[in-house]
Amino acid sequence: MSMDEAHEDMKSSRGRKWPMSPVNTVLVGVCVVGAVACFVLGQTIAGTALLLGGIGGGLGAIFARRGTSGDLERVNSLEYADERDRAAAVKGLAAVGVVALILGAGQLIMHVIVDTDPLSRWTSIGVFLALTVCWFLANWYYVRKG
Amino acid sequence: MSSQLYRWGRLAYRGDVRSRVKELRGEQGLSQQALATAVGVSRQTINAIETGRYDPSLTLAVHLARHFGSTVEEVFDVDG
Repeated sequence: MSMDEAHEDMKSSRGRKWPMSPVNTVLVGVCVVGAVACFVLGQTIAGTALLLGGIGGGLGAIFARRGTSGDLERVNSLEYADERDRAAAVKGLAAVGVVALILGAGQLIMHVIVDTDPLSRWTSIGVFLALTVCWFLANWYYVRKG
Repeated sequence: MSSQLYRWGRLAYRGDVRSRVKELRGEQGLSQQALATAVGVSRQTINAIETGRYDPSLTLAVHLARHFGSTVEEVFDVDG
């Protein structure tokens, strides 16, 4: 992508006709489909929770895309307006990753020290291994990509 | 080169970039929102650049410089 194309992308990011980002569209869609599935299966409480979550997330995304919205509002709603919003979101998610790794390691140690049931122990091992592999793969990808 | 320094035995670049965006914007009589719209970013980003809380990408720095009819080195000072 050339510099001008990147700039045009940046300029047009807030003027798109669809009222929310692709990520939010998928999230709202998953919530609505999940809610319908829950109602069909008779799980009304779970269905209502998913429906309210979808509506709340969708409305939050729509309001965050307004011209008067604040930067924190946009970053929290995954509606990034420019490079600074994206940089803040990347740092925020990186912090979440560090905390997840630390908590995952702590949980794994606790499950090894305290003799818990095999399902919980293997779940914590699996989660920690998945996080570690994800970290190494992400490092490999972004170091290669530059 | 004055923008470089050795930190813990490694060569590092100093992080503080001083910008003349506020000064140049004032000369043109533009509001932060007007400049933000012109270069395709949010008003908060222009404010963050002016107050030194955010260093723009090369792409945004070039577009800001072009907007002011100047060069990146004239708009942003990395040598202190």
